[in-house]
Amino acid sequence: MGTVVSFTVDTDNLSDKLVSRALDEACAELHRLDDRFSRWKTDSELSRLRDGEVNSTSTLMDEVFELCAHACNISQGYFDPWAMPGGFDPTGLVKGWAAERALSILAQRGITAALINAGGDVCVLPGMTYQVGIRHPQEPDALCAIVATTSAIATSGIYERGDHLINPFGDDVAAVSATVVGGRLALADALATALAVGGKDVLYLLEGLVGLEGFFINAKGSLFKTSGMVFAEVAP
Amino acid sequence: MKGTYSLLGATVAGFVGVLTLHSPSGQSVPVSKVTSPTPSTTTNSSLPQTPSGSTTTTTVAVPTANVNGSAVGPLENYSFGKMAVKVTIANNRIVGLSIASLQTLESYSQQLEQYAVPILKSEVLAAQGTKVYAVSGATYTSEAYAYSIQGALDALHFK
Repeated sequence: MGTVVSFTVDTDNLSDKLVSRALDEACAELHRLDDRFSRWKTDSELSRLRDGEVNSTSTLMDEVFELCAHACNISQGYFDPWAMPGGFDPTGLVKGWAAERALSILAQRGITAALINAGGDVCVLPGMTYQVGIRHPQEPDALCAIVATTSAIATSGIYERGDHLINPFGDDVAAVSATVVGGRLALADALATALAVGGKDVLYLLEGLVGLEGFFINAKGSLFKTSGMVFAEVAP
Repeated sequence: MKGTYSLLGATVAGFVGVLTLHSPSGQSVPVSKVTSPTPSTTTNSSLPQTPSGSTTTTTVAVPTANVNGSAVGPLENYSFGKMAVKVTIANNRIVGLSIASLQTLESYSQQLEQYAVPILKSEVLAAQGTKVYAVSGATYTSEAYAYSIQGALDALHFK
């Protein structure tokens, strides 16, 4: 998936051996998923699927199909991996989903407090609260907000990789940066993409989704948020 | 369980409390005194619970002849938009309760507040002792990552 993944693990009372083994396994899982879902590796299952070379899909691919269908449904089509040029492209969901799977490996191996940041999509183990900064879309060395995160937070935007978001309805992309907080990272990731594309339309949908909040910033530098979106207080 | 009931009751009261129906004669009938003919959890929960748990209809406080028809209540503000409830009455009983109009995006969009985007410089945050564990942002390329705040955080946290 061509990104950088950072792990933050509370290693108190844990042996170095346990921690490093857990991290090795989590990394191995990320590489395994990258091999399968990379759009840039020509022999990945995803690439072969897009080329029409796959007859029966793997269980993992089926799981991604289902998550994508759900995300497409609740975003009313603003996240639509089937509407992307070149065929099915779940990239906007797979990164968060892969980070979730890696986090679950850490938990299975006995780690109780951890955070994974997969290229800006962050998930944390239940029971923990981590302050997560949101990059400022126009000021590369500044943040625009800090959010106390207890489950997942994902940001999507067009400032980092250039204009890589596509509106399935053919209109302009509404936001330069969009963040969705809460729930599971796979969906937060997909909905952040949807929010960046759909702006107010998707913000409105988020109001109706329990446990999810979000905000976006448009090209004019205005911020719009859901009614329940809370930012951490920062002294001016 | 008790909590659930009282919550449901409050919701129903909130729905119907705001409505006033006008019967064909022009008489005003308070909707909250009309009960549903079919027992349903939502309706029952707004009624006093009887010991037997009986769910049959209770008295209908409509003074005159049968009231039939339906009416749409006024638009009421709710947390993020406006909503009107449609009530259908047959033989003095509510047979239908539905959302007649939900002014969605347009009013929502109009009432959305715009905020200026704060600029929180990392050195200022550090000076304040604000600890940020991770940075969420659009996908990093590995080159950009090297210069990113997350890269700096990792350099600080990991030896």
